[in-house]
Amino acid sequence: MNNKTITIKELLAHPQVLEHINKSEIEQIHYECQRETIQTNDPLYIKILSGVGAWFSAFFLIMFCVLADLLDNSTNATVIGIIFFIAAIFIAKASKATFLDQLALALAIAGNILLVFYHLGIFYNFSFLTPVLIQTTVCLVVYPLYANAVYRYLAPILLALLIAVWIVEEQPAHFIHFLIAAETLLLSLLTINKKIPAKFNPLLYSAATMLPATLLFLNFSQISWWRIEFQTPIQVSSVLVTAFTIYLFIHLAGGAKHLREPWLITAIGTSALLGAFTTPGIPTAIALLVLGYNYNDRILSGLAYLFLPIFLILYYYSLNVDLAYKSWILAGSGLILLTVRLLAKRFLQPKKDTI
Amino acid sequence: MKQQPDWNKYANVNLLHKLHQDGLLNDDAFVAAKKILRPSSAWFSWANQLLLIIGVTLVLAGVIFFFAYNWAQMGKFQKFALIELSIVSCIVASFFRGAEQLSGKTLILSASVLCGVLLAVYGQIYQTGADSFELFRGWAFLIFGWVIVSEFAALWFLWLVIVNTGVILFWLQVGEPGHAIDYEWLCLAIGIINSSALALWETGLKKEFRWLTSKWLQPILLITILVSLSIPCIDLIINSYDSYDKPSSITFYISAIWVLATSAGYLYYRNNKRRMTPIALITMNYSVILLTLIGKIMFYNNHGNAGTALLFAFIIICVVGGATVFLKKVNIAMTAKSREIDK
Repeated sequence: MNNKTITIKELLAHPQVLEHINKSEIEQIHYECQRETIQTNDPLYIKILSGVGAWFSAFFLIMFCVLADLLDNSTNATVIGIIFFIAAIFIAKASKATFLDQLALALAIAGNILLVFYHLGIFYNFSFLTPVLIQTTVCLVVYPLYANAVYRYLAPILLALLIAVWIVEEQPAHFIHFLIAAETLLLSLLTINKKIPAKFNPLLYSAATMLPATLLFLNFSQISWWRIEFQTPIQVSSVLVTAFTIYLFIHLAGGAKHLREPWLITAIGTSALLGAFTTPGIPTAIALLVLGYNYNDRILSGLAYLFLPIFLILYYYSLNVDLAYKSWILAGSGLILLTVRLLAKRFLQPKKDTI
Repeated sequence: MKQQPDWNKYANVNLLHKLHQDGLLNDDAFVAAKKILRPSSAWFSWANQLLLIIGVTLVLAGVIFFFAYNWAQMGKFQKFALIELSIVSCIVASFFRGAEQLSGKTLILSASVLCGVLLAVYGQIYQTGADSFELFRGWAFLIFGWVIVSEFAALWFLWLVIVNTGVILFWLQVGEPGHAIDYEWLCLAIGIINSSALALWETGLKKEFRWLTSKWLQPILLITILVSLSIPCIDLIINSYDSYDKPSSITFYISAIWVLATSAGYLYYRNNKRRMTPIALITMNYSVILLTLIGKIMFYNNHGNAGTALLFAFIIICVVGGATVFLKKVNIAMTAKSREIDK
């Protein structure tokens, strides 16, 4: 499961790598390593600390505006929201100091909240489409201008949330499948494309959060204790995410030329069966799990480990059978997985690789 | 933050992606290098472990549901025999499979879960009116031997969850009614249990027990300790001016313990272990307590003041910014120290 223990130098000198890389490229990598130019992002704990702190400071900034009667009409709120955004972008561009960075993030979050939520009062014929359009504009304008990973992660999630609310309140329920299709497409583009610039990494995490979250919402809507007006067949989304999962497997295997490999056939067959007979969340969580392992990415793996048990529990909970029958189904599916494991070990196990 | 990918340090998939993303490694070389770091056998063993874990979880969930259904047609001896047979089978199978194998360890874990099912069925059949914390107490006691011999972090974690749940239920069913035991004692108990577990974990790591190398258990234990000890501290801060609900003396003592425990924890992980995650958790905890204290002082009898809200927003930025700068500095210093020791 762990990466093999081999140094960068040894890896680049390996015959299988050496045939694809020339001496000058190796020297360039060596040079860059010596120059310390390869930058890694802030660790996750700093992003969490920074994000939570900015949320609270944004709350008190808005509270200040309310108490100072600065938000007595929507126009003021819009103007202040825009000023906050401009200030955030300006501060972030002008300085990389941590305190100013934190201030910029708080201003951006407060500005976003003011623009989306205070703007609603302008319209007498209130529509949930308005905040969707505003947030879309904000995302399109601010994402390229304001290079903060936390904001870039949060803003698209808010957009997906607003779209979901708009669909639930004002659109036919099957519109939710368009949202799921868009999220699936975004996730595929960002994961399957080999050379996505690093500035899109937060968007990748947003998509990896939004897709299972939307599917979870769709799952909840199928359970009887959720509002009954929102009903749509789940199969449409199942087809979408299963197709994505299968495509992902083929892509990671190295393309369609590997389609005859028994393990790939097993993986594709399992995904198709899961898509057909369970909830779309399960193949999605598995896809995230595979992506997380492929990229050695703790965030993607963490999201998968978070959502997989939730989808499994929801699936078995929503089965319309009594507890006794459910227990057989649960134990039976577990036994199927263990049998697959046993058979795979016997017939599909690859030879141990040596460096 | 800048980090040097040392030419002679171990390569990993993240670094390969970074080199590829930065255009330093071409597509073909990237694919070839990745195949070396992550060969098909690694994928296979990863998928194998996942299938085992999910499969066993589903089977155990099925067994729990089966007995939760409380079959009327099934006699009590049949029920007991079925569960006990399953427990014995798991243990025997684990013996033959080998307790050092993941499958053997998973079988011991299954037997431990089935012990809980056995006690629950016992309670179902002989309805004695006993409190449910007794089930958890008995469960923890019964499986303790297996926990010791299994050398399996997941089973240790399950055992800790059982013990913590037992303690919380004890307080809810015995301590809380009639206010016999203050909630602070519960917090202290949770803190002590998990601190002991953390201390054992660290000792195990020191002795280089390979089964303890997985990193997920430590932050969970530390978060539990910090949360349980922080609740009385926050209570002390919030209610210290309140004449009706004055904090009791135990709240002061636990707050003092929080100060000592977090300081000791910080020094230990900073100077001895040089690990960032615990330091980050302790720093976040300090920030929360500090902001609660400042917020209490600022907003006490001063709720509707716009200036106070603005000032507090800036104070949050300063505290969080300060914590971030501090963590970055500590990280750099610890990395430098580690390199020095490596040389």
